[in-house]
Amino acid sequence: MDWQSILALVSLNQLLWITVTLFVYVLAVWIFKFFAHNILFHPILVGAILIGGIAAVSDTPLQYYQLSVSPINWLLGPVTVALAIPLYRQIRLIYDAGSKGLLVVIIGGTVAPLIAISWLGLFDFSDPVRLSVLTKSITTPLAVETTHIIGGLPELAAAAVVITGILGVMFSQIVFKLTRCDDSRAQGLALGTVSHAIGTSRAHQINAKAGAFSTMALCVNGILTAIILPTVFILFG
Amino acid sequence: MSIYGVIKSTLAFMTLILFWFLGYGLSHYVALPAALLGLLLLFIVLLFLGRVPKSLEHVGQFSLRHLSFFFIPALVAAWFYAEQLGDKLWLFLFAIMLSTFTSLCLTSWLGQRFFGQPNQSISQDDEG
Repeated sequence: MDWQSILALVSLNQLLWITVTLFVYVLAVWIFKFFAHNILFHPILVGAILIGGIAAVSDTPLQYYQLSVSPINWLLGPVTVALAIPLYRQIRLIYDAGSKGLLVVIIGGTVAPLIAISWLGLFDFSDPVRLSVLTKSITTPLAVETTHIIGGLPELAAAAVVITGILGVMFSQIVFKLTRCDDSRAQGLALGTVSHAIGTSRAHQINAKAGAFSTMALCVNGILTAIILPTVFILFG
Repeated sequence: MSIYGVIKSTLAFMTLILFWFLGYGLSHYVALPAALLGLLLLFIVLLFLGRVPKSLEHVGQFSLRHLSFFFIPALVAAWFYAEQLGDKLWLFLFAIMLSTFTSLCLTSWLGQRFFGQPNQSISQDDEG
């Protein structure tokens, strides 16, 4: 087979698997809506399970699937850049919330990865695995790239981020009762700091103010973590 | 959507790609994620502009609303690592669970202390 026909085959398969992923996503969103936005049916989770199922049925190795859908990863960069828009929109809010708001985000954004990595430090995990939990509270596109820079495993980091997001939303109702947190701004801050974009969509369900604060926390925590982690690793690594 | 709208949206998405490339170029000199640098550059431009162009706003909102789509492949890939971790998978998951619960408690408690009291000086008129 000459290289031209190999190329044609690869791109055809890319088109096929990207289309499959798109349809699976649309279906997953529909399922999420059908179950009244129950967090256990989050589109990422349902989508990944469906893809796993389709790959198993069609006897496609998952590595092959990964290779085929690599253009999706390429688009992730430009989409991450779009976060500048909500950040710009929340600039007044960040200004109004002032140092107190920032303090909450910074403390929450520091404590979560430290606890996770300390716990993993107690057991026999390899360094790349340990480093992959450091970005677990920031939005996936920033987490993947930051993990890559500090020497973790980007895919594992992405999974840690998604699980953190879902667990955070699941815990939030109990935790808000525990800490008697009834202020929508505080709830939004907590959800956005800990559970990034998944927490933010939950915060939007509470009310607009919680959503705005959550968006702000998501942007601030994501940007600060993505700046601080690589810097620390260059200085001390 | 009119043909004009399609062109505008395409241009808006091209703008995002352009900023990503600018960030990528910059990332050779600054050891930060390319997407983050692109984000900050666009943010600075928006600050100077003083507003968000409508088509950019639409494209941005659309992209961010469907962010989940981009992570389905990543989560599928995580399956390999789950298998590799084997017995230790539960310890790994517990690390995430513990840290998520603790930091959620901490942030909501702190946030409530700071914002929850009556007679707050922070302005309440901002709905973002």
